[in-house]
Amino acid sequence: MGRTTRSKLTATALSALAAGSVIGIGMATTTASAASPVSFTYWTSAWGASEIATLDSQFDAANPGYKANGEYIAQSDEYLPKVIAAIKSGTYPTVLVDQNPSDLPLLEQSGKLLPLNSDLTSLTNALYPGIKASLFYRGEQLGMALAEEGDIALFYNKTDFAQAGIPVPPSNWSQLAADAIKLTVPSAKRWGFYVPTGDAEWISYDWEPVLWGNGGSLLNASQTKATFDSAAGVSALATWVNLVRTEKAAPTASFETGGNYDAPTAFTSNAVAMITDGPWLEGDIPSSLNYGVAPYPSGTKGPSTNIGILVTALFKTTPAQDAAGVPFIKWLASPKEAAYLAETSGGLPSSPAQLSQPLLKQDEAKKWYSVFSGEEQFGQVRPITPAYTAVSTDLWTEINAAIAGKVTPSQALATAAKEADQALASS
Amino acid sequence: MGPSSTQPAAATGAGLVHPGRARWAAARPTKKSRGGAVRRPLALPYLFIAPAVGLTALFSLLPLGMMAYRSFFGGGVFATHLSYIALQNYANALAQGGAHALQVTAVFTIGFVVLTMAAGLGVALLLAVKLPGVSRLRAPFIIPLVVPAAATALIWGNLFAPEFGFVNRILNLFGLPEADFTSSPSLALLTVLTFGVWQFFGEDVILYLAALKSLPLDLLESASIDGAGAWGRFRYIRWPLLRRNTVLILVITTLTGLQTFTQIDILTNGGPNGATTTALFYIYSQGFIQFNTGQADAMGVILFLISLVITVGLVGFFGRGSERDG
Repeated sequence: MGRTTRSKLTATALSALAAGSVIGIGMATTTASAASPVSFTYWTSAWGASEIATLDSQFDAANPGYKANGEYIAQSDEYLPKVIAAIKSGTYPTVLVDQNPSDLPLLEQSGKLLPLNSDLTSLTNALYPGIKASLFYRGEQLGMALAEEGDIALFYNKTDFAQAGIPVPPSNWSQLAADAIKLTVPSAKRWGFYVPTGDAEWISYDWEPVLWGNGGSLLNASQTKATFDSAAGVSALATWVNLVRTEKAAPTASFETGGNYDAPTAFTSNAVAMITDGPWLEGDIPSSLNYGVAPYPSGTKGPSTNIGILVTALFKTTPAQDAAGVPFIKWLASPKEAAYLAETSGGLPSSPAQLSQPLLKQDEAKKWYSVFSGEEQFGQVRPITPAYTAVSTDLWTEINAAIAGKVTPSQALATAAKEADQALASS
Repeated sequence: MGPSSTQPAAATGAGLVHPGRARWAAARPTKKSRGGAVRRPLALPYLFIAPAVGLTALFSLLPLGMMAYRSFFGGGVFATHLSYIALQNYANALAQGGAHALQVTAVFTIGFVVLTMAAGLGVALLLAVKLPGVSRLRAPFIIPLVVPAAATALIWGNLFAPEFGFVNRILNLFGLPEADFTSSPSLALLTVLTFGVWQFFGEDVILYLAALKSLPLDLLESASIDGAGAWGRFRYIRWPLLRRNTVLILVITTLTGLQTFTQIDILTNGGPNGATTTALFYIYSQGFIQFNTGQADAMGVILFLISLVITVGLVGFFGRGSERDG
């Protein structure tokens, strides 16, 4: 056998072997795909066991070849430490559903978070502007907003308003202050408005729309410096401080109970005639209380509200699981599924396309739903930065000090900004 | 009072030998010391305590060492870019609220120890009286101990709530002004302190009651016959005899005070304006809310050293006195 013949035979044998291998691998892959779909895990703090089971079965049915395994991990306040621990120990999920978008830039520092830059462009562009802006950190899209958002509006006691001769709820802070004075009845131990105090994120969350409504911002565009100590910020804090200290139209004590710093009991017990809170407050209000809901009061520059969003992100696990995570996120964020999530939770949609779904059209017809959903067009979301918690802590600490009369609004915000700058610099 | 005067020989290990030990000892040739006494095998006791020591080392000492080591490093929570920064975390922790937290811890712990021990001893003395039905009164003092602090904290939160809280309604009933129990810095610490004392003084009641029950009755009866009144019997007989137990209770109560967390977390969340932020709450806040792990580690080391110094100091100071008295 000559060298040429041997070479041909060898080449033929290798080709056959290679072809056989490719066919074999292909068959094996096909068989595996048909027999065992790609299984991936997602973590949530937002959904209970029954909701997770429903979502898993719906996704699996709509997406053959994938199997979603949802796990409830912890309530939102204790979620992030568990996620960090899982990342450190290598036991993190493929997809994360998180109630705090500010967690994402912190998690991004682990190097395990996969940006969603090109995978969800059309869905991302369809979101409300404030929600869309909150998904990007240093040019990267770290997560995708889901439905179930909640924003804040003004709850007012119609009976108190009628007794005070006020026909309509206030639309801006100047009107609110004037109405709060009229609604305050010291003999009945009732105040016109509730200004939240206490050591909790809620204080910052509730104050930020006052700042935004005056044209202010929390941080600069590059998120390297606090800007809430601007004239707009001082004016915004002075609004709250004056209501408590000068006008005596808001209580000095915190009505927080059981960690609820939005203090629903202040409104439900009629200790105050007005309060700013989210749609979840409606569940606490007794049927005997005649109340209404109006948009969050406008500032000097326009309307505003703070939107709390549910966000989902993709972790780097195995290539197959990562590939399965993207369609899962797309499926969750699709208008139809997102509308379902919003409808079952009583939350809000994150895009006009979701709001136009038949399920949410029913909700929109409900008593106050349109007030909250309407605010989403101009609402903002807290900036996402790893230092947000520190910035917010500095802010609420000084807001408390100003409301307690220990410092002026200007001094309070200057101190908070100085400390926030340190946190931003070290983040 | 030394152990040999009150305890039987078996308890001191002087007279009896465990059967297992006897068999083991018989299987080996015994060695005699220079004085002629039987030398016990040295390895066996160490073998028995080895699992406990090993587990303590693995789950307490090793993490403690790691915490101390990490406190000298800066960087992110994921330790992706750690850098040695010497004592900077300690300086930052003390400058950014840590020093204030230590002050709050000191005030809280001193108040907690004094009130808890005084209440514990007082109630124990009352319960030690031999009267029909008194033994049934012990249970109510144990209940706060066994109910989870999270549940009782919620109840206390509602009790002390402004306007509609039970306590403010009582104040209203007597024409007194309402108080901001959790919003006012001075009252918030007092509220948390009161809650802590209520929750834990039952433990001191149990410990003191057990100690009172073990006191020699003949001494007390002799004193009564000699004309000593209740105060005299307490001042000159019971209290000196309780000194050793009091040292133990003092150490336990101090450490409990230093480690109080749940009540603060649920009732005040460390506020208002840090008025109830103790060192332990500061560690939690830095480590699990703000993820400043370096500062949390630094404050953890500081708190550990404080606990160690206090414990060793208390045992050294009061314990030595009780040995001398005994």
